[in-house]
Amino acid sequence: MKTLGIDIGSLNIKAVVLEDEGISGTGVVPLDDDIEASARMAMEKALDQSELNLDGLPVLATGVGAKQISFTSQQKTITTCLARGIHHLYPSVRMVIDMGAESMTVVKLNERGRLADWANHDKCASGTGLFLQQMAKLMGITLDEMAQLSFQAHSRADITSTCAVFAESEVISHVHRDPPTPMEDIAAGIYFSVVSRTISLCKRVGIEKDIAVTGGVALNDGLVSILEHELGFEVLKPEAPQIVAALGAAIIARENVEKGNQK
Amino acid sequence: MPLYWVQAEVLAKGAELGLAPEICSPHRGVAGIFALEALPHPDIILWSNLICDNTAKCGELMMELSGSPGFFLDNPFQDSPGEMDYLTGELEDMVHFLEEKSGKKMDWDRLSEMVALTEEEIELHREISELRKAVPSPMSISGYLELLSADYMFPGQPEAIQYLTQLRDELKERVQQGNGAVSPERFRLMTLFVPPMYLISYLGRLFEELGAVSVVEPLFTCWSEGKLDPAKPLESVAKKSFLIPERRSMYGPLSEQALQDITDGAEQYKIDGAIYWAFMGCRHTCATIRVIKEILSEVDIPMLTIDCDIVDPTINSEEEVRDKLDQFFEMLEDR
Repeated sequence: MKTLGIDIGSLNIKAVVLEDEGISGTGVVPLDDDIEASARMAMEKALDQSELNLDGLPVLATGVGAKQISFTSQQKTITTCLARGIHHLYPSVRMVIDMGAESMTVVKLNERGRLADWANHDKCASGTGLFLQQMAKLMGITLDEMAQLSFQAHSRADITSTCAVFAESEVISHVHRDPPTPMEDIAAGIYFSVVSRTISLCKRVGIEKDIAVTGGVALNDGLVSILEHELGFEVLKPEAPQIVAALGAAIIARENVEKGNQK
Repeated sequence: MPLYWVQAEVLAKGAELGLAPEICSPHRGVAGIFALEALPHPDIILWSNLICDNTAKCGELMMELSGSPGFFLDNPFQDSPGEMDYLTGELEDMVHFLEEKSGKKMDWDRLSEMVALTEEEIELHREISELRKAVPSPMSISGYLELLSADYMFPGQPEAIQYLTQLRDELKERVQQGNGAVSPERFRLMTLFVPPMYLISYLGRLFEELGAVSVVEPLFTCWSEGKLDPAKPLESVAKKSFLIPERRSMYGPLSEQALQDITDGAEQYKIDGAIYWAFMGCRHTCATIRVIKEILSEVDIPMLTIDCDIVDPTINSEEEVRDKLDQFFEMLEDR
């Protein structure tokens, strides 16, 4: 059976084609003003890789604006899709930390890979991908450079973990003080503020191993390294952490066909 | 003028008095209403620390703003004979204060009549709670707030009896006919604390669409066991303070009995999940979230927590609440 999952993120749209043998195509494209057009581009990219077309293919969408996609009437929330997607990749995972461009969500799974609980930060951008992007911009470096710098830190700058706007002022102050705080320590401080916020979110639902990280921010090795240090153990990171929710969407589309309730 | 603007104006006026958005918005609103002189000028202000300690300070502010004399009724935390005597003594002092200020004598026969009506009112509340155990459950989420209003607005008044009797009869008929508040009934919920009042119509439509119904609210609609005695009116008024549902979480310590009532409710009302409307301005009730989530988890009931404000419409949007409820109901469906 072949199905397609689409995840409408706030920066990128991700598409996954799932076949019986596993993932056969993926597409990740930046979201522009037209959600429908971007979603179609991501879908076409994934279908091209799979050498398939959309005809009769069951499609399920998740994420912000999933209901706006015209080529599917099936939607599920991001938490359910994350749970399904990660369980497919790592059945031992009991907790997913999904770090997206504008959101951070912690999802807890039961032993069947079903959603058991979740928590998210929805009142502040602190700790999200856009927050990290903004911090790197303030430091005049790229996100990759920021990650590399953090590995060389000897200490870490104190950065607030409760407000993105205050954190921005603090970073500016570290950069411009005399003498300036070493860039390595600022980078480590920023990551630590994100990680402390992440761990407090994990504690709200109860930390349980194995833990996996997903979302575009999970590609940031510097941040994941500090997260592992603070948790005290290693986390699992999929090869393409940003497509896990889309994968989950494709899995649910397949389940719906099997249950015979595809719309 | 739209209600939203009125709320905004009242809350902004309260904020001008130094009550920040993090402070309980009903108290901020009361301060704003007094500052705006939106209510008739009171001759006397009576207030109490029941149902929450914030109210103690709120009354002082009302006295200051209105310039009216006032009496503070100090409610003890525990239901013991000594504390009952203390509260009865407080009520006696209040009666003397009112007699002195008004120049009128207390009408004890009238109070006895009101106690009898209150006893009848509480019994009706219990009957309504019992009817809501039915599957499907007959009362909608908006009925929850209307139920609260009966005692808040008309305690011991014929209006409360009339309303609750009619409601009881309608619910009885619905139960007998097998009619639920939503059809089909997919999710039976326990509601903890109070949903944002400005979202209640939206929640009514949403619950209908999703097949969800609030069947029990242990912290607000389940009255404790106990009887009032019209022959002892003042003692009965004191006794009522220990029977009201809000006492479980909003006033004093969260007792073992309160926790037991919650888990018993989960079983008796056959709930699928619980929603805790975490009113961010109410610090002491928010402190109970963790323990309530844990005890419900022990009986395999998941709990969704939604940070909110019950009065201030700038805190939550309909979309945000919808998104969280969608996730929660998907989780319940998937179990």
